[in-house]
Amino acid sequence: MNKLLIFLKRIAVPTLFILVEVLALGSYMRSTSFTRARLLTVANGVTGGVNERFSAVGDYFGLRKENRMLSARIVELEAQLAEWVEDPERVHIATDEFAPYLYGEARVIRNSVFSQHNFFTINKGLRDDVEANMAVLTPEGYVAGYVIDCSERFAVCMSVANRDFTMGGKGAHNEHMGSLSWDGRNFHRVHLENIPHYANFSPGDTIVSTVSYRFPPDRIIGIVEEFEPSEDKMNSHLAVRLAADLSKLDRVLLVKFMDGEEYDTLHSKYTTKY
Amino acid sequence: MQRVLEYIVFFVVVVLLQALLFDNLLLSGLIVPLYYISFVVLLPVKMSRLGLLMVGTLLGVVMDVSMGTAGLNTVATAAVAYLRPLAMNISMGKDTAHESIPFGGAITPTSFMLYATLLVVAHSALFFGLESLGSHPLFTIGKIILSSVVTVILTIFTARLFRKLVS
Repeated sequence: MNKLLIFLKRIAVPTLFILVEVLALGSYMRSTSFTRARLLTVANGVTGGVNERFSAVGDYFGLRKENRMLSARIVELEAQLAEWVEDPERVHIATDEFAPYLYGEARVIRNSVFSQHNFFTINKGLRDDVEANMAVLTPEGYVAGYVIDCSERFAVCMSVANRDFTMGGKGAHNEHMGSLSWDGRNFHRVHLENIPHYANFSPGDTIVSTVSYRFPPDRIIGIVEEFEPSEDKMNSHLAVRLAADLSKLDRVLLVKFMDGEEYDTLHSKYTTKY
Repeated sequence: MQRVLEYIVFFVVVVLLQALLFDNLLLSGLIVPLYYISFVVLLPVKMSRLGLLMVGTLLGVVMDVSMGTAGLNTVATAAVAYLRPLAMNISMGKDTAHESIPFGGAITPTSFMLYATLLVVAHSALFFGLESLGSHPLFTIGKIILSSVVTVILTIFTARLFRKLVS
């Protein structure tokens, strides 16, 4: 009996250690980007306010650059608007149509780019009508990620540089589509796979978004860096340099596709969900 | 002398530094300091294995929630806490007999550096190795080495400061 007690005492800590490791490893292996975002949402309840204040301090240093970018953007949008105003016919058509995309703005208060699963947190949440699957773009309109989980005041977004991130991308000039993903290494570089072998791309071509229930179409994703034509006459592969600098996200645009849910329900009836 | 209050304050400071400073630094893809492990490095010399395991697990869970890693930090930190007596035997041997914290006094700077390096490298290797799951092995090894170097330097600074503050 005594010997048994001594034996039990000796193996108690190693057993506890193995138990902790198995539980933690199991939890990590089972976790998805959604559970990770959930944890970050919980953490934001504690550190969100402090992070928000920290990022507000950093804002002052970028004001000059931000102003320059905003005026350039205004010029661009004014030029587009002028085209519409000159052609009353088009304005008429546009107002008849239901605007499918709703825009909002937010500020990134916490960011990561060096993990395999990067997320960033924005300072708007449920009370600002932010919801999951809204697209997140930089002020220039470049693709940066999408909202994955919200709390009352904050929302956690999946960055393009996340190994679970996927979206559709296509050549702006030839409309050939592929699926976009990140390999976990360089956050400036993503890959576009499954492009038909006969599609032609060359370095410098622009890659834009396809319509999906998260992203509005024709938003710039990046520039082709390398084109690897398929050897087996199946699919080609593109390395794309992201237009958005994910390490310097500050102000972002949020885009909600008003018919996104309807689109998704119909779409996923016939395809496996990605 | 277990200095419970000092260690509680130290725990909070380490967690906040990691969550608010080091997780937001975004220095380089190869330098991601997991600074918080210096807490386990500096736990009292005479702490029991059970105590080490429990504190290590708690620290891991807190960092998992903060970083959104769902178990990765716990795997690495609990393992390092559990293996700490072994690292201490290898690097310091009997130098620790009359010391309460594993830095200064009879412990030479060289043996502390070896001790801290063993723990920090084990921690980074588990963390980054599991995170990448074998993809880009060279990149991951570089990340483990460079991040460990920075973390060891930070740990030595922390150890000096901590010893000054508690004694």
